[in-house]
This record gives sequence, structure tokens and C-alpha cells, in this order.
Amino acid sequence: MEVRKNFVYKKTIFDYILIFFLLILASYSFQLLFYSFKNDNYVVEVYQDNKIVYRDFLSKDNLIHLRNAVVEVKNNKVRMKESSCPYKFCVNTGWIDKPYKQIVCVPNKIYVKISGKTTQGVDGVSY
Amino acid sequence: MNSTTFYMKNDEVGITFFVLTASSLQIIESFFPHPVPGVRLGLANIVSFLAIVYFGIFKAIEVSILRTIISSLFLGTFLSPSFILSFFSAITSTISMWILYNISLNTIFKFSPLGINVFSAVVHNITQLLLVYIFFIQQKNVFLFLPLLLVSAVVTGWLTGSLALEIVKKVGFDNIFLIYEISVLQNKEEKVFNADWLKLILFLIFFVLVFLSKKIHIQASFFIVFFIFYLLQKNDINVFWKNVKNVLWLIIFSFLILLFLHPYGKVFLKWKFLIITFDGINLSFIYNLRILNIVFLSSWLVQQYSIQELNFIIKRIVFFYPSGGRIVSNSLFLLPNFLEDVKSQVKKINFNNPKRIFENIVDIFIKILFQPTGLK
Repeated sequence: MEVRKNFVYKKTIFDYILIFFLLILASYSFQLLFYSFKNDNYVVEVYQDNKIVYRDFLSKDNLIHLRNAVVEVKNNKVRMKESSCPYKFCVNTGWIDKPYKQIVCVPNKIYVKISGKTTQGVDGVSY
Repeated sequence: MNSTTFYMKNDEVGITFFVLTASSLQIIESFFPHPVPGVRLGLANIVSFLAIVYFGIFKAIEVSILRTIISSLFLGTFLSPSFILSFFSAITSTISMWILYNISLNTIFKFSPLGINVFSAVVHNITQLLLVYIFFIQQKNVFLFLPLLLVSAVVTGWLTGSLALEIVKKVGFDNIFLIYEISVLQNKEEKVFNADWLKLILFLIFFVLVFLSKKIHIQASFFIVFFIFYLLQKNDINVFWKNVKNVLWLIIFSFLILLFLHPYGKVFLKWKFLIITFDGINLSFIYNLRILNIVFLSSWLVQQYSIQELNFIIKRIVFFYPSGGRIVSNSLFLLPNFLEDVKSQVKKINFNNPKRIFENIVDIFIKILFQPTGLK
């Protein structure tokens, strides 16, 4: 009987290799998961009165109704859609889509920013 | 060499005993508390391994499918979340076992049963996590449990593998084996039930609807309707509680994961680096209501039909596979006696002598798998 002849009755080196490999996988998966929470995607953060009221990916379209103002997230861009403030600086800022750009509305105490990794490279070159 | 004759008139008989052993082990294991959620010893997987060694892959898959069905019918968890998890992961772990076993037989990569069982336990746990992700909690965060589950799978797989190795060593391939009394298994005259198909169809429709709907108000209204209907029909609420206890870890973790690890959407509360959002709360309610709705449906189904009726329905649904239906009905008929037998064997273990416990367990396995007594 072939099965009887080939059946492995003792622990082999391959068992230990397999277990070693699986334990490495376990530790590696831990690391992997740890990094997966640090998203490379851009995240929009909206603050009002120094408190965070909204935090989500830039890719997710949304309309955020705040006190005296409306923030719109659309097509990977953010803007202040409406505001009750007198000079409308925030609305006139227009769309922003890069990290560390921001929209500020002083009368309503609103602060919109995009956080995330900046792309490596130069912004512009002058001759 | 001890050369007792090896004969088995019918493969079905052997499979029935394997199924009985595996399902009774699963039932007994479910009575013990599980201190760490999702971590089980998986004694029933030993039986799957032995089925691969002695019967081949197809019969082994048959054993692993039938044992989950039978133990769930017996415990009243048929089609509940815990059944769905154990059903699919039993199949994948058996297939992974077979792949590694074949590799070790036919190539120079020799894996002993320890390695094979460790691998299958890992595959089992990964499948469970994937199923949780696909069916119940659609959040990447569930994979946070991957490291814990992998390490625990290595430990439990090592234990079950060493048990399996000892059993194969003792039983061998050519001497004593399988002398079952076939007369025990002769089918009684079967009652023909007028199965109430309407209830089953209703159940299936709601089952699919609960899985598909992703709105909180739909799930909540389902929950309220089910709750009122369940009480109005005078179903036993204890059955529901028992099933909820089985998936309590799932419920608790889906709450925790979504409350504390879902910082996207409108912010509800912020404290240090902890951000709780309305979206997270909303999603956690959706997932939990869905789990509870499925539990409601399954515990309703179990009470509407008796075990025999469910067995009859399963036979009708899998009409193309008559031996499976026969095995299920035979096993359900024999299970109570068999369970008593296994319990009396387990009670005989002398726990005062730790060195002997391992050998005792091996002896019990051989006795209940290959020399079943106390049936009649």
C-alpha cells in the first residue's frame, strides 16, 4: 500500500519551516494592519469652534451642513458652498484639492483642511 | 502483527460513524466556555483528517459538511451566523488538509500530520474572518484579529495534529479496522411529512432581504416586526437567547470596531486620538441588527419545524444526493445514544495523572471511531 509507505510518522523539518513561516506571517500581518490604518489617501477635516465636526476621505462626495455655512466635497475637491459671513472670503477661495491647502472662515470660526502625504517634487520652477 | 480482518460492507456506515464522532465532539466542545473569542480547539478537525487518510477527499468533505449540519440541527443553530461560519470553514480547512497531505505523500516536502493540521487550522481561521468580512461586518478592521487567530491556530493545530498522528500510529493501515454492525443502521420506516413549504419560502425570502438591505431603518423595522411576530407566535425566547450567546463575540466586536476604529464621517465625539463618528455608530447598529435578524430567523425556523421535518426537507432539497440524506437521518437517530457513549468515555479520563491524559484521549478516539459500542 503506497499510502502506508509514504505516510509521515515523525515531525519533519518542513513542519517547523511551515510553522515558522506562519508565525512570521502573523507578525507581518500585524505590521501590515498597523500601516493600513495610516491611509495615504487625502482626508478632509472640518473644524468649527476649534472642534472637529467632520472627517472623511476626499474621494467621498458629501454635503456638510454647519452652523451658518455649507461645505461641499465633490470630485476630489472641497469648497465652501455657502456662508453667512459678510465678505465671503471663504466662498471666494473656491475649490481646494491638495494637502495643506485650507479654507478659513473667521466670522463663523470654520476651518477646512486636507491632510495627507504631499507628493514629492517641486511646485514650480522660475528662470 | 495483529491481523484482524478489515471489512466494511458499505462506505456509508463508516462515514456515518465518522460523522457521528465529529458532530458529537463539536457538540461537546460547544458546551465548554471559550475564554478567547473565535478560538476553539477544533477536535472535530481530527476526524476530518482521519477521513482523508482512510476514505479520501470526497468522503472527507462529505463528513465535514454533514457534521456541521447535524451538530447545528441538534443544537438548534441551523442557518444561524455561527452555522454559516463553521460550515464554509470546515470545507476549506478539509480541502487545505488534503492538498498538504497529498504534497507530503507524493513529493519530497514531507509534512507530518502536525504540520498539516496547523496549516488547516490557519486556513480555517482565515476563512472565518473572510466570511465575517463578507457576510456580517464589511469593515477592513475585522482583520485586526488576524494575528491573534493565526497564533491560536498554530497552537490548536499543533495539539490536534499530535492527537491525529498518535491515532494513525496506533490504528495503522493494515490491521484492526472498522467492524461495524450494519444491522444497527438499518433504516426505520420513514414517516412522510407534509412539509410546510410556504414557511420555508417565506424564511428564505426574508433571509435574503436581511442580507441585502443596508439601511438602518429597514433593518430596525425588520427587527421590530420579527420581535413582535416571534412573541405573538409564542415561540420560546430562550432559543433566541441561546443563539445570541453563540454570536455574542461577533456582536460585541462589531460594536467596538465601528465605534473606536471608524474615524470617518460626521464626528460625534473626540477625545485625544479617539474619534467616534455618527457613521460608525450607524454602521454598527446596521451590522448588529442584521446579525440579530438572522438569529431571529434561524431560531424561528428551528421552532417551526421539528428535527425530523428539517431532515426530511433537507433530503428533498438534496434529492440528487440520497446517501447524504440517509446518513443525516441515521446520524440524527443514533446521535443521542452516541453522545451518551462519548460522555461516559470522557468521564473515565483520570485528570489526576496529566501524563496519561493525552494517551487516554487517543484511546477514546480509537474506541469511538473504530470500535463503537453502546449503540442499540
